[in-house]
Amino acid sequence: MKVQQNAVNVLERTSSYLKAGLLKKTPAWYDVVAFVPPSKRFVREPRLVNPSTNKETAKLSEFAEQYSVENRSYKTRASRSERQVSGSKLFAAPKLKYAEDKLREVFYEQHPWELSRPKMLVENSGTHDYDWSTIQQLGKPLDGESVVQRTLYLLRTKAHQELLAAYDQARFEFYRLRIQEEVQNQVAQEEAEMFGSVFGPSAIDFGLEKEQKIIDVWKQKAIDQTEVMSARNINPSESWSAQESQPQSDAKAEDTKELQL
Amino acid sequence: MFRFASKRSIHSVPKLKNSGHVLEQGIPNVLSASGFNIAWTQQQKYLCDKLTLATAGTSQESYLPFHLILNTAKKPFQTNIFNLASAAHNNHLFVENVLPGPANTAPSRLFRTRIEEQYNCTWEEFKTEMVRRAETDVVGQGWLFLVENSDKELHILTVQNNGTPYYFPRNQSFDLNSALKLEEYSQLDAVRTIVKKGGKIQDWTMPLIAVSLWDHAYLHDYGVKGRSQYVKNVLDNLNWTVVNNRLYTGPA
Amino acid sequence: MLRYSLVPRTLARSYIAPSLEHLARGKGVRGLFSEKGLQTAWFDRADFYTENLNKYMGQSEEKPLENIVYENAKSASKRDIFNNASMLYNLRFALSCLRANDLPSVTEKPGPQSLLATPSLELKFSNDPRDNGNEKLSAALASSFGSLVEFRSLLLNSNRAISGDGFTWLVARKVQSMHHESVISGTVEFDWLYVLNTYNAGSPFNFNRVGHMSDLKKQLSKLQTVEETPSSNPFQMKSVEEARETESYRDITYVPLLAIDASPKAWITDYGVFGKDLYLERVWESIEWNVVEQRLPTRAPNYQLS
Repeated sequence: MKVQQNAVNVLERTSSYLKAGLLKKTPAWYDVVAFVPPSKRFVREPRLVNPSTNKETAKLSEFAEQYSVENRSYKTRASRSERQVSGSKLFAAPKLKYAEDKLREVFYEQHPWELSRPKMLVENSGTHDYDWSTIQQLGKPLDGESVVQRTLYLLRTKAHQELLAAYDQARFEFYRLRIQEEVQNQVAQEEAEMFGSVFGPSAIDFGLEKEQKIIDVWKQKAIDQTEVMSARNINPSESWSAQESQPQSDAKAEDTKELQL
Repeated sequence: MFRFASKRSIHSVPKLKNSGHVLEQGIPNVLSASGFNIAWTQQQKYLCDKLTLATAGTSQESYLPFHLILNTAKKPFQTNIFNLASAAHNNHLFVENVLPGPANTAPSRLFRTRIEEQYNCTWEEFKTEMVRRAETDVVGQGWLFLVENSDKELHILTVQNNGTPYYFPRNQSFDLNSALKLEEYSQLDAVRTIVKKGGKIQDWTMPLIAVSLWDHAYLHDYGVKGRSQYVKNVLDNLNWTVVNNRLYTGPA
Repeated sequence: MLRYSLVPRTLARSYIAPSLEHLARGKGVRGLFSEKGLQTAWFDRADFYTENLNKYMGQSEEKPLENIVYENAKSASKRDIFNNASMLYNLRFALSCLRANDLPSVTEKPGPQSLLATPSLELKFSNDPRDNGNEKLSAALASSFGSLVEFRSLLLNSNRAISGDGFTWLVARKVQSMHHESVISGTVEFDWLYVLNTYNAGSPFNFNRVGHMSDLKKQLSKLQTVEETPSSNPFQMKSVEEARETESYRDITYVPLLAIDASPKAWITDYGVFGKDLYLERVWESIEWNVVEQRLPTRAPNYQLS
């Protein structure tokens, strides 16, 4: 199949159009594409050295002086399977590795409840340039990411040589601010109550109330059923006639049934 | 790289109309330039930044302070956000109605007649009553409001700390740190009963006049003992264009 | 330190503003208040509250402030007296625990950037009760709060969280509920230390809190003619708020040891709008631990540190 080159030749084609006067105006992308021209090499090149690990991807393993007991001989050549280099290894894109990822993993493993805090998934704005000389940022919540970025900042500015020391400092700063936040919330609530604020029922109160309504209904049902059952148990032969006398069973009978509950 | 011009999650100090003059010379008869700087420029910046820190990254980050007030009023654990939002909103109300306009202004005829009909006194007499209420009701920090309720009645509302006039369970008009009068307790009890009953609480109270009783507003210019004088000066030098506009003028 | 200089004037008997030996007009407190800052934070306010107190008290006998606070705590008609007396007491108490420190005075007020400042992780402070030789106090602090660092962060964070006026107190809880007079006599035993906030004119002795709300509730229910049927819900408990009002202050009496003023009047002059944190750092450096320790009652034997 012929390799399609129309897309990558867009610069040349546009240039000739311009020269010929087919195009009057230079397109906006023209200079940019001229500055960074698209690659015209379509051959996938094997990567013999993995850039992320600096290890060779297709190295034949050493096998000299290997004595095979079964064959009673020394191995002299690489076997077919050993000589074969898998394409997935040769052409695989190298794994991207960041120190941040490791820190994040450690942080959230140590502080699993940090994950339970509500998080905005909608992004309102593009990239931010935060100055991590302070762990708090305007417009960014204080969370695990703050600790990670602050750790890297401390490493970059050589405040600490060791990664763990930097991480610890960032972590403790984070704790201090969380303590502040917690005390702040408690005190603010107490203060508001002392000035006559009235809050609605708490989530727990609300839940209890809802639950209570169900329990009340269930209790009534249970009482009715036990009445029927106990009436049967007292005198099975009169179970049919018991239904008629049921409305008479008043407070006294109810007491005994409550006990059975 | 593409960049957004504004970040929605950051609260910033509102720009005031013709404030350049005020920043240089203060509000005549009320606040000096440096007093105004503390009461508005610095304090509002403080409140906005704190509010940004408290709400960033939550579902509340794109709310305006007014919406934050209503949103957090019922949640005791978000009192901190409520306090900041309410303070920022009240302070804006206050500065709006004290910032002098281009021309001298006076209370509208409607306003005067409303006061006279309801309280049988002139605005001048009513003013002294407002000053007195601020003096007796608010021991510490707070706000003095003249509000109009849904029945179009005017009331003086004193608010402790960062209460809001918009939602009566959070008016914060009582100071439980000292003894309560029985009358006050019965009001508080009534509010509690309403809240306990549940259901939607509708409060259409609107503030007409807001006066900051916070130290930030008066301490620099009037000193510890001068708060009543300051309240009087504010009430004498209101921007009536703003206040008259806040008053309901539609059909009864 | 708890002596009051109450000198009667010639004509009407009246209170004059209390004075503290270590604070002088026209001078600041080095490292904490400038001259003007101290004037606002202490002298002007003391004058103001005293004037008010005289205005509302009229002619009456002179009593120590604690007694005025105690006697008027539950009476709403005497609220003005209570408020002024209590604020005067609190303010005087707060300033009596402060002394000059060696830090350079604050010349530049912190700006908006200070809101983002990262808290320091310092674990040693230059003003440390242990270095000061206050063994008894630091032992009590360590056993009640875990460590001095924990105590410091609780104390300062509690104060910085107060948005309006108020005081943060270090208090000792008395073991048995004893009579008010024993607060002054000094034969008191305590079990644990606590950090407590009061707002506006609230008093750390919380005389008024004990039973005040339930009294009002009773009075109100008498007035209401229509008797509401009580809800017959066995699971219904008192709400946290109700419980706090009626139950929590029942038999507890506190002995205040240390107070920190949170009012902007104390810090806005010297430290500016953004300066409360810096003010609190400086207050910590200025705490006179000897005075705090003097106020510390003896510890009840079964709570002694092992």
